[in-house]
Amino acid sequence: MKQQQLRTLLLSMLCAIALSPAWAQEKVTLSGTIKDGSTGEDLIGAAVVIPSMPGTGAITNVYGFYSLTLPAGQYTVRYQYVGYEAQELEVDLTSDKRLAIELNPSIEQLEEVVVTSERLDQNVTSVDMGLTKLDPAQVANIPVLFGEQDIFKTIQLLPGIQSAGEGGSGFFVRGGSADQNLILIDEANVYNASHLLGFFSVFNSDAIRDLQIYKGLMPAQYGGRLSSVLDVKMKEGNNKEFGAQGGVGLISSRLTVEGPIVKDRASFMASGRRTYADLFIPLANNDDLDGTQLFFYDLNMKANALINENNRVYLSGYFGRDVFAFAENFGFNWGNATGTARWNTVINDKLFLNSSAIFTNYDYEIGFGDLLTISSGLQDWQLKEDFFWYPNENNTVQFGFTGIHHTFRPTTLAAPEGGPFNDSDATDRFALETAAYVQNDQKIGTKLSVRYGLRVSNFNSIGPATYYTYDGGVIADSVVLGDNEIGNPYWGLEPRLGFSYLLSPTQSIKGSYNRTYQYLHLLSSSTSANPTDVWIPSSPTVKPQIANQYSVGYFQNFDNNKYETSVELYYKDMANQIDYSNGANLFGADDIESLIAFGRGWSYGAEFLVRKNVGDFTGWVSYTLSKTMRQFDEINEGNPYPARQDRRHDIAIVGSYQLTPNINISGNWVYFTGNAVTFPSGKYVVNGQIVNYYTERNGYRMPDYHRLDLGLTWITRKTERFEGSWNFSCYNVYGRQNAYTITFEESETNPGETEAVQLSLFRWVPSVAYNFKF
Amino acid sequence: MKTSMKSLYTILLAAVGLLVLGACEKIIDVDLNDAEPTLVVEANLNNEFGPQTVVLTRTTSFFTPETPGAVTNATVTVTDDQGEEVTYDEVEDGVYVAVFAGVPGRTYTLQIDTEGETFTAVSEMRPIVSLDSLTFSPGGGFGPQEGPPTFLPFTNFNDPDEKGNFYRVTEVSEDPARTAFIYLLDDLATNGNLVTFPLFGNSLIAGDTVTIELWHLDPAAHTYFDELGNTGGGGPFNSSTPANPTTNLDNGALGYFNAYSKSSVTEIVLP
Repeated sequence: MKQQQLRTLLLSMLCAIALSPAWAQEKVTLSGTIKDGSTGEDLIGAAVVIPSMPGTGAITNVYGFYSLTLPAGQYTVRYQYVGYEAQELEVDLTSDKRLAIELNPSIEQLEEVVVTSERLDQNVTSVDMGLTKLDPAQVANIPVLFGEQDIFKTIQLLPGIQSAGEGGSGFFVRGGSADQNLILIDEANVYNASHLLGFFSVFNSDAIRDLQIYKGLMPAQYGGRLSSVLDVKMKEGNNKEFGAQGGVGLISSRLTVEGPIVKDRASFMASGRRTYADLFIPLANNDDLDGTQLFFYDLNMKANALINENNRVYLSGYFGRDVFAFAENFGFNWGNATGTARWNTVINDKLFLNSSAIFTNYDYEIGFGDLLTISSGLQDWQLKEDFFWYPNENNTVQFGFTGIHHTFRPTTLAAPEGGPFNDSDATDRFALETAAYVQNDQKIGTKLSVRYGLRVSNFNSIGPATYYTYDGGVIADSVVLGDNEIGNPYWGLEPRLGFSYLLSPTQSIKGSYNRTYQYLHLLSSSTSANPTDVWIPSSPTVKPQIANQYSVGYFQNFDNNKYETSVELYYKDMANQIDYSNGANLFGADDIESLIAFGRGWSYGAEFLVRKNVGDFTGWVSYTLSKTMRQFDEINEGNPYPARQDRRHDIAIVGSYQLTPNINISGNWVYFTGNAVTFPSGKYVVNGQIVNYYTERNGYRMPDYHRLDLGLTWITRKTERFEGSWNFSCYNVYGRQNAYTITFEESETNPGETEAVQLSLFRWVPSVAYNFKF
Repeated sequence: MKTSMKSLYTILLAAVGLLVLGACEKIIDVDLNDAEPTLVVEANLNNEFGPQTVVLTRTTSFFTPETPGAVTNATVTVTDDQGEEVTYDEVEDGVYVAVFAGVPGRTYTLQIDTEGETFTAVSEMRPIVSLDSLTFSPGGGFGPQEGPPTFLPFTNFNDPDEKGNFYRVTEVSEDPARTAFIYLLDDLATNGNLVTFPLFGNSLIAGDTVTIELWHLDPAAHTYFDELGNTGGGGPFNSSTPANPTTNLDNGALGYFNAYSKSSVTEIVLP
């Protein structure tokens, strides 16, 4: 029945598009690609406009393809992209035409920090809300902890996105949990995006070309997570000439090489990063530390080839791992591996298709010599078809479908025969997650743009497996699936609706409604990213998480688009949220599902942003006023309580000033209300031990957090072939002792008495790095 | 296995700590609410004939230096599933004692009546698992060793075939200088095996006498002791939300009722 409804809906949507009046006229289509003239890389979001017809134009999709349908005639066509020299062409458009355009970076803008892309007024005119794009090179001057450039730490400075902890790379979006962010690298899902307990993200900035984060209106092509999409694209590799860039920093060194395989047709990029704290261990001259390893590395690789005018293929991979070992007795390593094979084909002037085959794997392994090995992991195989259809100049339709086969490997013990430990009998679980979507971006007149889309998702368990349901922690019933048998189906209808209305060329109001489903859940016994956190599939006990988000916004640009401002209001409710029964110890628990509590959450807030994108001085001020609550029947006597990430105020001020052509100074200041925490409201003694007595969940607040960071980038050598620069930064310049944790414990000096102890990390952390490019 | 996971994190975090420049700890003032005083129960019952004890106290406000107040004049009874009932006597303020032996395999119900309120808890005394012997292996200390060689004791006991057995292992000693350690074990990874578990704790040299006790616990008691060890969030880097350990008492009382069977072994350390 649902399928029937769906078909009706899809048909009526297609009819709406086909019946739009423009359809009836004599039209021709101009299409093609827009690339960077210096590297040959696709430009995402570059604009094609017809200056004689204001409001008419097209924007390249994420694969650099555009298609624009116009009445036949003679046109001046302008191709433009921020930071690039615009090109104007006289085009005699009597029949469908294909044009591949290359734009060259504009010389005078190269030194500027431009924190945007696309058309300058894109933020006002597009339907997108809660969307931010970042170019890693353009935010490279922002000072960060240990000088390790990290896009995850930059996005935390934007409204509505909160850092999970001091110095950490984890983040929360509009009151969502850390596992509700869809993190994609070249379309592959990254299940654990952090290194070294969350202090660093897995994304090496040198290898990244483009990043978009959606916290509001999520395009229908994305799904599977409730709160946000972080879509990261790797560099494609320069297909004109060889180049290298790299850096030596306090924590790690990086090197990226790229170049043509066949000039103008095929290119590659390879980028590596490794930390080296442990390389100094032999210098310590301490025999006890021999054999100790502690490092992580990342490797990004990509190659692409143009087969002919209409077909292009890409191969990309990410491999990263953290390794920790203590002599031969103990080893612990974890990491992600992803691979993406993509094929772009221009079916005709109005229809573009991207096909992807994607693999992703996350696993960890803990070894205790030859006594025992503990491991767990998750593996996906995914196929995806994304169509872009440009029926006429007023409509851009995206539709497609995807299927993911998940394999969940629960915590597994492997031990030699006859030893003290047994192999575990936990078995792999399998699931199939599929979705189909269609979405139209439609211009109605010159002022109103609307987006309406629908994503239909489906999740099924695949046997062999036995799924239990619980009543009060006791098994109540079971579902048994045979080999390859499919069961426990869940359906999700996910509308994605938005509009933007131009009040004037520089002012607009927007609104959106968004529903999202999440079928995978991260069980974490703490809020910091632990490598041993386990992802579990939806099941008869664990229902899919569902969120509805409503938002409205006002956008205005000033001074010829030099200043962008926006105010967005949102309300989000989240059903089937998960938490753990108090104190549940997840490791080795046989029936993990029986330990989970289910509840709901909601969050609302206002987000203010003022941003200056061009000129010697650039930067932004962001302010978020929000409230985030949770309610679980089993927790806090069923009363609503603030989520840990409930922060009333969150402010970030980010600035960068180009002092001279070779010297850039930058700084950022952040302030936020302390997280909600649980403190004891009493104490007692059990077994001779003082025990804290907790009454309400998250009933207290950490102290307010604030911090100033400063940075300086100095280009010491710059020739046509080589550029070298020093980067100096200081984290937490005024040495604020921000509370990382506050623990309540028995005094070490006065046994029997209790005290509160605050731990602070990172005061005055200076760092220096040398970066080069040739 | 849980123990090893915890030490694993400690090592890993210490290593990360090397990166954490300028980390510092200080004692601060925090304004805390005062919760209503709540009943706290410590009730143990085992299979050896002797005084079985129930201790009743109440919670206090967090920063008070006073010791928790005893709950006096309560009525404390234990009834087993065969209908046998034992009433406890208050031998000192808040300490209630009855002299008898529990029977492994029976399920006991504790009932406490105080100030018009009734609190109950149920605990099953699991069958005795016999701690057969100890094995001493050389080593057992970290870092460079001085003095006579030290030895590390290992348990030897057979876990029953059926999965779902939980234990608590302690060293019994009159010597206050010796560290009282507690290990909580489960059989998730060792079901049906000879369990040889290393008892890191006190350095032993040849000729020392050591007594080790093995308690076979009701799962609820194991959960309680396990969570008791984790309460408060488990250290500065583990930021899980702290909570009260899951109790088997009803009506909002804190603490536990633990019926257990025990076996012990005393051995002289021989190389």
